[in-house]
Parts: sequence; structure tokens; C-alpha cells
Amino acid sequence: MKVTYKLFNAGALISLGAMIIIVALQVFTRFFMESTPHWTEEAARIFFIYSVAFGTVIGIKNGDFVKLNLIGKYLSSRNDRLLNIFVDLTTIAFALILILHSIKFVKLGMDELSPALEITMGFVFLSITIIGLSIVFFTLENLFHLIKSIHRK
Amino acid sequence: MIWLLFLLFFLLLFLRFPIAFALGISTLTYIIVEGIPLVIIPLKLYSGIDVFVLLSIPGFILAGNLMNSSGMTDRIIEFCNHMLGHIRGGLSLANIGASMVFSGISGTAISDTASIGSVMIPAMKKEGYDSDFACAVTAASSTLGPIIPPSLPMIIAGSLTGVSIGKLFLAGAIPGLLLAVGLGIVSYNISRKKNHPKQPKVSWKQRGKSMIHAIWAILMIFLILFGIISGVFTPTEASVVAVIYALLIGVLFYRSLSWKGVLSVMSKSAGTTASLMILVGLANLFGWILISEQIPQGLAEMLLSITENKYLLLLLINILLILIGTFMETIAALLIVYPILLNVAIFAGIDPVHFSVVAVLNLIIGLNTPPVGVCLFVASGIGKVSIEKVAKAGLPFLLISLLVLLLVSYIPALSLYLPGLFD
Repeated sequence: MKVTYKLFNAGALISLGAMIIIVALQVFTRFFMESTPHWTEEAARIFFIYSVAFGTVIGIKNGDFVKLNLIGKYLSSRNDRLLNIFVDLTTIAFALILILHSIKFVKLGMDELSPALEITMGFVFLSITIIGLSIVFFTLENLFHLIKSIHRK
Repeated sequence: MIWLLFLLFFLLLFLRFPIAFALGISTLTYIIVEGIPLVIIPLKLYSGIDVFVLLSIPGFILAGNLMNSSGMTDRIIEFCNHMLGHIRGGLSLANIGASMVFSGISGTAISDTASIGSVMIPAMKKEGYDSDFACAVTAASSTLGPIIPPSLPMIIAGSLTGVSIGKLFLAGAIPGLLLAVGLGIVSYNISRKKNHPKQPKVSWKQRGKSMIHAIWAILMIFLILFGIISGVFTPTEASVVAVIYALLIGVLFYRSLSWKGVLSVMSKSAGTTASLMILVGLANLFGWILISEQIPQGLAEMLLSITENKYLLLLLINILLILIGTFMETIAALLIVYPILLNVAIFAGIDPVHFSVVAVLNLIIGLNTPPVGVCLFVASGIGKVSIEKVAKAGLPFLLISLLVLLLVSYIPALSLYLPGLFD
């Protein structure tokens, strides 16, 4: 799990860094060069989507996904944990369906080329599959810790 | 069957699902029941994220985080302290002032609460302010973040409707300043009544020094704002210029940022962005269902059947938005409700830029109302006070915010004057 996290984290850093460099290049060339490369906007967008895909893991780990806790104080600690397990399991089921159908989406994109860079769009759409995989892996990890903590009690 | 979608969404929210997944799972269920091909889920998730303007969001988040780690935020706070600290309740005024300056770089309220609050709440406690008040001032003043430009909700509003983001930014400036002044007056009055401490007066020489300390942060604000407003940069470009500027200042000039530190700030920002964007993507899916079920038209017809009077309609929309803002997170609410209401507003002859400011102001006031007030949560977490206490102490601030909202709603010039100068 740790290795996967490090890998995804590195992916997020590289994509975000690349996005920033490309947009900076766009600004720089506009001010100091004769012409701006035509591919910068598209490339920046692709790296952005990939930074989101790889960053999902970091968001889950840091608890960045906003939720409301209206019922927390009315639950016993046992029920609180059971509810968390239910939420995690349902989320995993949702992400599995997302993965399954994102593969179809990727296949649809295999015949399509991006307008500026002429990259196969399927590879870009793969970012959605990565989002799904991230949700499954790291929600599973949370679940594992939850169940372990119940056992310890 | 559309009731199923809403019922399930609220049930999942109540059961503590993250808002993004509550949107996703309720839509998934609806799609299965209605027999719509499931491939629409990845498709709409993707098309919701694949928007160039949204690239400015990681940029502004990263620039704000870099400012915090490089110590630029502390310098802003010190400067505001030196300017305002000698007045009764000076630290709370400095808190509001620092939020105002900081909001010229960050575009979100949460980062404002967290970064200013983590310095100011302990400092205020130490000086003898009650914790409830310290948290309430912090939470209230951080709503300046998303109304004073640059503003993340305005970026999203612009990306949804094609209204110029530069204009939206400008339109938020005067309402933002008005809100800051209003919060300042309320805070000063409370401090006088409660006899809050004041700090010894600082010499102008000292003030000048602290201003020079903070000068790089202040220059950054001008760089961002004038860059966007004059049309030199797009919002996305401006956000990236802000990142590079913050990096250069932090690494080369202040030397307070190590490259390792930069990487950890980047990773944190990527996580925040990803969770926001997945929310945006899944709200796009949810919104698509609403459109295909013609809910927007239905709601618009309903509102217009009550009244076609512009002023009454504004009041109705305000009440509706306040309610929505109380129960929903700003971005999600913006994505789902704002385009619908914008159509109603345009039909009634309300200027889209004016309406956008009203809508954003409404939704961010919701950041300070229980049960879903995110800023309340963050501030109460830092100050270790219960949400109820913070919300209670924040009541006067909430009232003045509502007053400002009313002014902004009924005096369009407050929002339209500045953008009008650039037409």
C-alpha cells in the first residue's frame, strides 16, 4: 500500500508540476517570443486531469472530501464504526462500477485523437479509471484499519 | 422518479457520506432505475473536470499554501497587528485585516480560516480574549476569501456560464470591502463592551518596517489582480504566475522554503484540488440528470409564477440561496443551483454579474451557519471550542453579513460600478 501511495503521490507531483511549467511557458512565450505553441492549453489540461487522478489518493488520506457529521454525537462508538464501515463499503461498490464503465469509456476514446497533440484520447480518459482505482484501494485501506480497531476492542 | 434522486442524496449526506460520493451514488441509483447507459458516469465526471478555467484552482490553492509555508502569511498578520493592534480589541481587527489581505491571494474561505486562524486564535486566547469570540471572528472574516478577488466560487460561476471571470472578480471587490468594514464595526463594538485588551501603540517607523516585511505579499496581490483585470493574464495564467512568484520569494528571497517543503506543499495542494474536482465532476453528472428531467425549467417557472417583480424575485432567490447555503457545501451548491437561478434572474432583468455576486455572497454566508458551516468547523477545531459556542458568538457577525447581502442585492452599483469602468 505504501509503495502504491508513493507512486500515486509522485504521479500527482509530476502532473501538477508539468501543468504549472506548461502554463508558465504559455505566458513566457506570449510575452517574449514571436508565437505561442498551439498545444499548451491542451497539454496543461491533460496534466491537470492526471494530477486530479493521482491526487485523489492524497485527498482521501488527508480527509479532504467534505462530509457532514450531523448524527455523530447520537451514535455509540460501536454504531459509529459500523456506520463508517457501511459508508466505506458503499463507496467501494460505487467506485467499482465507475472503474468498470470507465474501461468502456477508455475503449471509446481509443479511436479518437486530441485536436492539438493528436494523443489517443483513450489514454486521457484512463485518468477516470485511476480515480476509481484510487478510491477503491485507499477506502479499502481505511476499512482494514477500522475493522482492525474493532477487533482490538 | 426524480424524488428518488433527491431523497437518496439527502439520506446519504445524513449518513455521513462525503458530499461528492453522495452525489455520485444517488445519481448512479437513478441511472440504473431509469435504464440510462452507465457509461454516462465516467463521461460526465470527465467533462466536468476538463475545463481550462478550472486549472486556476490548483494554482491559487498552491500559491496560498506556499505563502503560508514561506512565512508570508505571518508577515501579513504582523503588519496588520502593527497597524490596528493599539485599538481596543485590536487583535480581532487585525484578524479581519489579515483575512482581507490574504483573501487577495487565496480564493477559498477554508484556507483563510486555517492559515489566519492557526496564528490568530492562539494569539487572541493568550491576550485574554474568550475562545468563542476568537474563533467566531476568524470564521466570519474568512468569508472574505471567496468574495474578494481572486475567488474560487467566482471562477466556477464564470466557467459554468461564460460570464467574464475578470468582471466577476471586480464585481466582488466592493461588496468584499463593505463586508470587511461591517465585520470590523461589529467586532469593535463587542470589544468595547467586553473591554477586550489593546496592545501598546507601535511607532510609525516600526510600522514601516513591518510593511516592508510584508511588501512581497502585498505586491503579489497587485500582480494577480491587475494581471487578470487588465486582461494581461487569464485567471489560470495568473494563478500560475502567483505560484512561481510565491516560489521565488519563498525559496530565493526569504529562504524559508526548502525544495522538500515545496514538494510536501504541492502534494497537499494536489489532494485538496483532487477532492474538489471530483466533487465538481460528480456534481456535473447530478446536474445533467436535473437538466434532462427539466428541473431547472420547473423551478424557474415556479419562481416566476409567484412573482415577476424583480425586487421580490431577488428576495425570494436570496431566501432560497441562504437555505441552500446552510445545508450544502458552497461549490456543490454553486454547481447545481446557480445556473438554474441565473436563468430566472436574467429573465427578470437582473444583470448576470450582479446576480453572481449576490449568489456567491449568499452561499458563503452559509459557511458560517450550522449545520454545514465549514469555516465554523475549522475554527472550532483550531480553538478547541464546540461548534455551538462558536456559532453563538458569531451571531452578530452573521447579522451584519446579512445586512451587507441586502445592500448588495438592492444596490446593483455596489457590484457593477467597478466592472463598468472597464467596459
